[in-house]
Order: sequence, then C-alpha cells, then structure tokens
Amino acid sequence: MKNRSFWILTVITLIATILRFYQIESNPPGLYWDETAYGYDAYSLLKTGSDLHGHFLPLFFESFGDWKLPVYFYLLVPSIALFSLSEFAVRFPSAFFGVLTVPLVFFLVKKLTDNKNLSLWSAFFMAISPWNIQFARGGFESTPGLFFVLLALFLFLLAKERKKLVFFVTSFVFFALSMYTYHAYRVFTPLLLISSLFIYRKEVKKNLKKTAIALTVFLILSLPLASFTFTSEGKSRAISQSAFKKEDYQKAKFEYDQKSKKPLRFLSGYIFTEPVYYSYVALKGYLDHFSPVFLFFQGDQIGRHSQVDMGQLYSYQIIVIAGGLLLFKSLPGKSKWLIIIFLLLSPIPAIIVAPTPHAHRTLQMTFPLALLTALGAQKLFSLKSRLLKVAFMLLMAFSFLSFLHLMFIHYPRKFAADWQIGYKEMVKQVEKFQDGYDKVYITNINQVPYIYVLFFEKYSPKTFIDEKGSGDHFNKYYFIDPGEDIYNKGRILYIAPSWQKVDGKWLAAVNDNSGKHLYSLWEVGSEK
Amino acid sequence: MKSKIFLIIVLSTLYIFRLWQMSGCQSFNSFHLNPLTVKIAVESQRLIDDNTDKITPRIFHNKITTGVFENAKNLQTIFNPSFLVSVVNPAGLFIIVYLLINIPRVKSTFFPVHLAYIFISALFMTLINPKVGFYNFALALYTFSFWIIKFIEKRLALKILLLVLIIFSFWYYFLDWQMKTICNEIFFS
Repeated sequence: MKNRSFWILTVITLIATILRFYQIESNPPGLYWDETAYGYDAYSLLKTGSDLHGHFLPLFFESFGDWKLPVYFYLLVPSIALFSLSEFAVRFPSAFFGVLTVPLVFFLVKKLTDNKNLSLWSAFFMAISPWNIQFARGGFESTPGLFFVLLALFLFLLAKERKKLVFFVTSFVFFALSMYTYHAYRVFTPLLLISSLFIYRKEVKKNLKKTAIALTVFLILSLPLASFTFTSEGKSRAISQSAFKKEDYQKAKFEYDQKSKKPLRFLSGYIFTEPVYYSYVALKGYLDHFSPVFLFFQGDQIGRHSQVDMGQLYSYQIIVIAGGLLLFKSLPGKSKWLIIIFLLLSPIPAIIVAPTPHAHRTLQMTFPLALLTALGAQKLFSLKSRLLKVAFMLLMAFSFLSFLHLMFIHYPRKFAADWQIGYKEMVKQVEKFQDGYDKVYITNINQVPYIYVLFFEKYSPKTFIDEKGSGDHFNKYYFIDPGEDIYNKGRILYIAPSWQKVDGKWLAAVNDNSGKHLYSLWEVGSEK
Repeated sequence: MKSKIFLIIVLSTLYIFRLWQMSGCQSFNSFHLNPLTVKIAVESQRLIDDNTDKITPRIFHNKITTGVFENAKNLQTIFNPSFLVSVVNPAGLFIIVYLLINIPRVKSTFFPVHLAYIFISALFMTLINPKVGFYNFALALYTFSFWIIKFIEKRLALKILLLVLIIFSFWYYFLDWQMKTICNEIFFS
C-alpha cells in the first residue's frame, strides 16, 4: 500500500476513534440494563470464573432469563480487568471493534474491487456512519459481531486467492465466532456463507478438500449453538420477541373477515391461513428496512438505536447511494453479486422478530451501504464541475456537524430515559444513607434495579453467588413493587418512585442529569 | 413476442384488478405536509438547545433547513417500499427496481421523461386532492412498469422470476384487501 493511502487511512481511523470513544462513559447517558448485566456478569467471571448465577465458564449466559450469547461477556473480562467495573469498560470492546471495522472495510473493499480510492471512500463513510457510531458507542454485541463477519469474509477471499488451508480455517472460525456474538448473525452468517460458497463455487471446487476441512471445523464449532437453539432456554428469547404471534393472526383474520365481501370471506379460510399471514408480516418487515424514511430521515424509533431526529444514515446519502446503485454493475463480476446479496440478506434476521425496522439486528447493512455511498461519491468527485463538488462537500460537512450537534447536545437530554438514567445516582444516594439501616427496600418500577446496585457498588460476586442472591433480594437489599407493604418491616430505608406518597421521614431526592426528580429516599418505620 | 403479449395482459389484469379494489376506498391516505410541522419541529429542537449559545440553534434548527428536511421526509414516505408494494404489487416493485438499476441501458428519450413524471406525480400527491393525486401516481407507476418489455427477450431467468412474482402478486392483493397503507377506510356497497 502506497504511503499516501496509508496516511489517509490512518487519518480516517483516527476520526473513527474520536467519534467512537469521545465521552463514551457519559454519552449515551446511563447504562441500560443489558449493558449493566454484561458488565456485572463479566466482573463475576473475572473474580470467580462463574456468572452471577454460579455457572462456571458458561457457554450461554442466563442473565435476565434471556440467555445471552457469550462472546461479548468474555471480551469484557480483559476490559474490566484493565479499566475496572465502569461504563467505559463495558463500552470499550464495542467501541474498539467499531474502530477496527473501519480499516477492515478498506482491506475488504480493496480485496473485492482492487480499487484503492473506492476502498478509502468506503472506509471513510463507515468511519462517519451514524448507524455504526450509534452502536459502537454503546455496549452492543452487534459491533464486534459485524467485525467478525467482515473479517471472516476478508479471510475467505484471501483463502480462495492464496489457496492456503490456514486462511480457509480461520475464515470459517470467525464465521462461527460471529454466530456466538449476536443473535442476528445466527441467521445472517450461515446465509452469507452459503451465498459466498455458491458465488465462488469454481474456486471452491478447485480447493474442495481445504473448504471441506474448514466447513467441518465450522460445523463442529456451531454444534453447541445449534443444539442450544432447540432447548427451551434457547427458544425463550425468540419466542418473546417473535413477530409471528397467534393472537395477532387471529385478530387480523377476524378483521379481514369482518371487512370483506362475502366471496372473500368464503375464500379467507384458504387464503388467509397462518403461514400465509406470517409470510405477509415477514415481507412487510423485510421491506421496512429499505424504507427511505428509516434509512435517511427518521431512523429506528427505539431511542437507543438511532438519533431518531435523523435517519440511520445522512440524508444526502440518498442521492449518492442511488448513484452507487446505478454504478455497481461496473464492479468486478462476482464481487458485485456478493455485495448485493450481502445487502439483500442483511434485513432477514430482523423479519422474524418484532418490531421492524430494527437497526440493531440489521447493523450489517452498514457495510454494503457504505460501499454504495463510496461508489456514488467517487463518481461525483470525478466529475468536472467544481461547483457541484464544492456544493456536495458543504452538504456533507453541514450534515456531519448536524449529526454531532444531535449526538452531543440533544441525545443525552432527550433520550436519557432510554438508557435508564438515574440508577447510578440512586445507588450513590443509597450508599450515603444505608449504613444506618438493616434493610433497604428499592422500588423495581424501572425494572431490574438489583443489577445496578450490584454494578455500581461493585458488590462481591462471590458473596452474591454464595448467599444465592436474586433479582428480588440479596444481602440487606429487597426489590419490590411500589404497591407492596413497607410499613411492617421495622425500620427501613425505602427508595420510592418520586410520585409515591410515603408515610415516613423524607431523606433525599435522586435526580437525573437534567434535574428531573426520579426517586425519593425515605426512612420508614422509625419511632415517632 | 408471445411472452411480451402474455406479460402485458397479465400485468394489465393485475393493475386493473387493483384499480377496481381502490374504487372501494372512501378515504385515501393523505401525504399533505402541514406547514405547522416545520414550525413545531424548529421550536421543539430549539427548546433542547436551551443552555447553549444563541447562534448554534439558529444554524442547525431554522425554517430553511428544517423545511427542506421535513418536505423531503414527507416525499420519501411515498417511496416507502411497503406503500409501493401495496400499489404496484411485488412483481411491479421488482420491475420498477430492475428498471431503475438498468437506466443506462434504456435507449429512449421518453424513459427519463417517464421517470420525471413519476417524481412529479409523487410531488403532486403532497399538494393536491389525495384521491386524484393517488390515481395519478398509480397510473404513472403502472405505465412505467411496461418498459420491462424491452428486457425480457431471450432472458428465461427473468421471465420465470416474473411469472413467480405475478402469481405471488395475485395472492398479495387478496391478503392486502384492506390496503391500509393506501386507504383509511374501504367500503364496497
């Protein structure tokens, strides 16, 4: 790689680093419950070798009963060892792999297209991608998952070129690893692998033995995951998030029959069957991910997944991606099929679960979209019109600055509740007052407060496991519904929601970063 | 030649069937943008910038930039694939995407004019009566899809794919009888 390209890529990677690491301990504001669970389970692994349920070096983590995949937990162990149990440590692996994805995109696109300029443009658009930045800044397992998929693909392309067994095997190992990183890749990775093997079938035939060995390794590594998928624990997450619910089908059929003319009502028993309805739901879910409003204007409406006030990508990208689509036929033969199939397969993991569109489950779309943007931008900047180039650069700069403004000024204020802001402040107040009480009762109105007490107090995982702690109670902490009786427990410290009227002595308030009152600390049951 | 005639007949049947279904629509979805939307968006965004300097909110949240953004967003709701598939069916949507990707290969001056007509029809939907605007847009899309005739000669894979999608589209029209993305209220007397 020539010096100029090296330095440009270095600058791009530096930009990516700043965008992903700057203030990640405080923006996103607060740790949402999955991040906290990741952090504390990893802390427990570091201290005891077991998760907080006492399972030694588990392959699947029970967590809140949603049975999370293991890779992010194990990535967190060195991070927590280095940075201590903190917001930064929990988000570090995601940001780190988010940064590494940028130079990887350069090398992958160069391998696919042999076009250095296009590769640099692709890396640049990935570096500033709002979609990728959003997930790299939070403790999301999809970011390292995407890195592993792209690395696996790169190694696969390298393997077919160099014909070395080590590249085949490591490629397939990373394909398998991605499936243990995030649920979406359990669906996406096998589809991508099959497609890649089909597209490059001639090369695979020439290296049949090596491919067979690598595939065997992949299948062996995937066996535990495949068998886990069919257990009740493995199915629990899919069932809870499923887009295919019988009650939705029954409601839709009833509505269809009520509003249809008689001939259709007769036919509906044959046309409006359950599998047919679910495929209709899946089609709608699939198409939602190609909605221009989702991609360029409004984004995922879940506050943790986008800035919400803008699309998953910049608005101007609609023009360059359209240009990129017209130009993609100019790419080398098989590469263009791989890229388009990559894009078309990307939304599939999201169509079997609700809601849609879902930016987290389709993070893999960022790669082909960055490449298509780069194709369009490269063409635009090769035109003779200086005015057009300057105008486009100004548009890009303004969009980027708007994004930074939204991310650093609006987002922490507007979407603090999506990140469970207030828990850290609540635990700090509890630590200040708890010494004088034998029992501390904490409301669970905002769900799973126990994990935040464990995390921010750095409670000993060994003690928690030994005393068989749970989400309802451990040590002197009790986690209760607001309606529960607190008046016959003796003298207690009670952390109530701000709106609850309590017959006791008010001690302190807990406010969030905007000053909004969230909880109140009360002494209850003291002698009057 | 036979396959072209067959395709014209089948596509026409699909579109006429859908137009007949739409005749039951009592209230078409409106794509008008309320001008107040821009004002509300500007003010709500500026409220969040309460503690910053006075210049920054004005640069990022003003009626010009927000107006362009909101109007573009409103226009893009018309090109939402869920809406388009309801209008032109899955076969029609595939055909339109295929034609757009193959724009450089269509050697006809009328083709870009037809494309421009679709865009202008979409723009009209945001301005005029929803029913008239919608029918105009639907007809623009239906007539545009017939350009596929230029591509199906000697392309067996494309013909087979189209046939499968057309069968799928008839099923889709029955399932999507209520046309929720097109119609607020549907009634056949």
